[in-house]
Amino acid sequence: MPLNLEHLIPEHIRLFDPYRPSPPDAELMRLYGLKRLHRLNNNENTLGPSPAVRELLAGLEAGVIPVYPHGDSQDLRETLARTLGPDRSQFLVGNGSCELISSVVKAFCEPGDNIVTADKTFAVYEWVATFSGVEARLIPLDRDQRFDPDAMLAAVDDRTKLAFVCNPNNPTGTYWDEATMRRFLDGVDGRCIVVADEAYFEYVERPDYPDCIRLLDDYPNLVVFRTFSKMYALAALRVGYLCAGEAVTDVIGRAHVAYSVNTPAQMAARAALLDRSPFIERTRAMVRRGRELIRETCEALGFEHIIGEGNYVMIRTPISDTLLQRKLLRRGFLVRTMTGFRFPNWIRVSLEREPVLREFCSVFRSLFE
Amino acid sequence: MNTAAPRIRLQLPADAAWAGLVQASAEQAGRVFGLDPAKSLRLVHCAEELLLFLASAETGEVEATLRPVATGVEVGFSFASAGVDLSALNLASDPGAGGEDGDWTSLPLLLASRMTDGFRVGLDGRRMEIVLRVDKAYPAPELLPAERLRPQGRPVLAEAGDAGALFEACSAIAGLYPAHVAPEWCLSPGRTADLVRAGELSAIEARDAGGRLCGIIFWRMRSERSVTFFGPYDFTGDGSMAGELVEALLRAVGRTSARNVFSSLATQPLADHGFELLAELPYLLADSPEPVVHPVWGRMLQEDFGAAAWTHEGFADFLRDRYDALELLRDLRPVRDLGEAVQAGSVLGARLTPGLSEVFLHPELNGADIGDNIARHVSTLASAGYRNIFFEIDLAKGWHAAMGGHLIRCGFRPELLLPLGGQSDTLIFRHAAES
Ligand SMILES: Cc1ncc(COP(=O)(O)O)c(C=O)c1O
Repeated sequence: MPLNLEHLIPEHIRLFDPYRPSPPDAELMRLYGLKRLHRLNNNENTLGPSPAVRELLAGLEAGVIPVYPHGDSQDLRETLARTLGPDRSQFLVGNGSCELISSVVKAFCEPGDNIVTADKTFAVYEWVATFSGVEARLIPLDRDQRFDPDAMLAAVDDRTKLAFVCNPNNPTGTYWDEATMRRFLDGVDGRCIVVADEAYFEYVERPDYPDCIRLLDDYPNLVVFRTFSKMYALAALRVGYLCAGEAVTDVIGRAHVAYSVNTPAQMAARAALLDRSPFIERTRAMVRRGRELIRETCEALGFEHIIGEGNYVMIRTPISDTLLQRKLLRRGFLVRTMTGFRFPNWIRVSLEREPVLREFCSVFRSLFE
Repeated sequence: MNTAAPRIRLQLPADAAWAGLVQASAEQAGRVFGLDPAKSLRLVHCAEELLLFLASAETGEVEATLRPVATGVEVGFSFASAGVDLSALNLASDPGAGGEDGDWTSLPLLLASRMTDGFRVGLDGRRMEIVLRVDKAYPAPELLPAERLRPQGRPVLAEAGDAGALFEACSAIAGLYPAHVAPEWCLSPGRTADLVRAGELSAIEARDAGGRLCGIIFWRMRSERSVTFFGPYDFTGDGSMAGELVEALLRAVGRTSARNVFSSLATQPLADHGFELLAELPYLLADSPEPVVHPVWGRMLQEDFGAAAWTHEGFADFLRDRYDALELLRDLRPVRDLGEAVQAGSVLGARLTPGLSEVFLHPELNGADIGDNIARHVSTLASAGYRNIFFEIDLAKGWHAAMGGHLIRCGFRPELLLPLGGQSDTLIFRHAAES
């Protein structure tokens, strides 16, 4: 009996093009004949995880594995509450913040609704909306490659349920300062939920950069997303969280799968929060040094570049980003092409440890000199 | 309100006794869907020919579908392929014993195809499908005068969809560019507008502060994996729009399912805009003996992590060359004769565009006669006057690559490699008439 899938799949799923992750390192290294492969494509922090997390993982008891995790990550939420201030009932923990993006869309949107975000930003907001049958209104970044608050406000209508603001933006590293964020929230005036995705929060050292968790009391429609995948270097464990007013967190929690965060992930995230070692400071120093190296290289080659906040930078070259990706992969470096972020002929490079970036810069130069 | 496009479906035995039903349906569909009487009549003839043909091929139960499409009406027949000798459905089928000198051009399918504006035959899953399209008769208005201009202020780019704007664009292209880089639909702006309205063609235009048209670029999805474009048409005196139009195209298709983009009609070299030269494709126009050469500029849209590709000695050198030039890493697997049994009759799919004298062939079902079948198609199509015959294979499939020897013997040459254009890379051969 042949399976006729066409009759079973909704239109928005049929038209959706799934994300294709890159093959495992071992496979790439075999195919490309590489002795080493540096992933500068996922904004990971290879300096980590922090010493406390390493210690915890090394001592992990096999006995925790047969037992279900806390269904609602209670201990971790308690630690988040103690570390960051809000009540534990305001936190919701997910299998990476990607899962939370999905939960917030499920909680608030039905077909016919829309979300508002930027055209050149992290793709998952747009993807989740699209494959949920919800319109994604993509507002062009402004001339300084920032989210455009006025154009976004103009796009909000009575079917807008969510506005996603990536702060700082992936991939441009631009951000809204506190005044801009407040002005936007005032403009929205409670008409929809505003998500501030602060995946790279811990990397930003600018005094005018807002900590949106501190704005929650003023704006009950605000939801803040953070992740343990970036600064805390727990990407493989998949753990992120959101913080919002209790009522909003409760609504999102209804659409959220309980038990989605495993025990080692909950434990490691707690350890990462409680770690008082200089790990975060060392990471920030590494990123600062990385920015300098990339800036020098781009200036020497005369290439346009965008160096903002976060542990990544963007570079524009005279060849296509896809050709450059292939050339670099042959030489042992994976970078992210930016055509999919609507920045054709730009690549995004994650800021890694200095020796790796030095090698990257020298290979990169050799391709153009 | 139900906005789904109407679709008339008939389920009937492939039997000449039902010709009247099919004719009457086609006649009415033609009228309701907006064809003029002459074009409706064509649709009626095509539908009837197809039914009679399917009756002779004994395909059993068939489904006939009539539906409006962007530019006219499509009629299609499909049937379950199991138990049917599909080889009879080749555009150029073997006339059988005693028919070596058969006049293949008079075969019913090809005959039907010549009355149409578009024709395709192929397998869709387990159903065989034959679809043909009859277009509306569009007026050919006198085009507006065109001249190169100097933009006032910084031109703004936006999607073009308005029929008036497209008329302006078609006029400017016809006035400012040689005919061989003007897309055929440009000559009937109404058709261009219908294609854009239906989403089969997309366009981005640039207008200056005075609202004057400074340039345009067109594209369409060639498959789920490939976008092909026309332009950039830059109407400024200093060529300042081309780069922005190409960028706008890339932004528009960058987050779609397409893995590559390449030019059908390129107006200028695009190396400075991040494109790679993929081929220089000779193309025979209706009225000249010498081909024009179309450079094909393209690039991938997504990351590439290497892949496997089947190769055959007939085109292995070509592939190695292309993969080197494009810095693509591929595990090349030479095809081998494994001695496995194949069925007797092969089936080739075809897409015909009579207006361009163009055919794209592709393999649908392998068979022992595949070499003869290719040769038969070439001679049939050539004697029917088709001058640009292409053959497309997917290097994910060993049996596609294994046709390399037959293709070369039949006068095909590998010309264009589209990375990840199908399940794996797509290789397009062109039939070289001289060989
Ligand atoms: C802006 C942004 N938000 C969210 C995420 C997803 O992170 P997680 O690993 O928590 O799902 C990323 C990861 O790249 C990101 O860049």
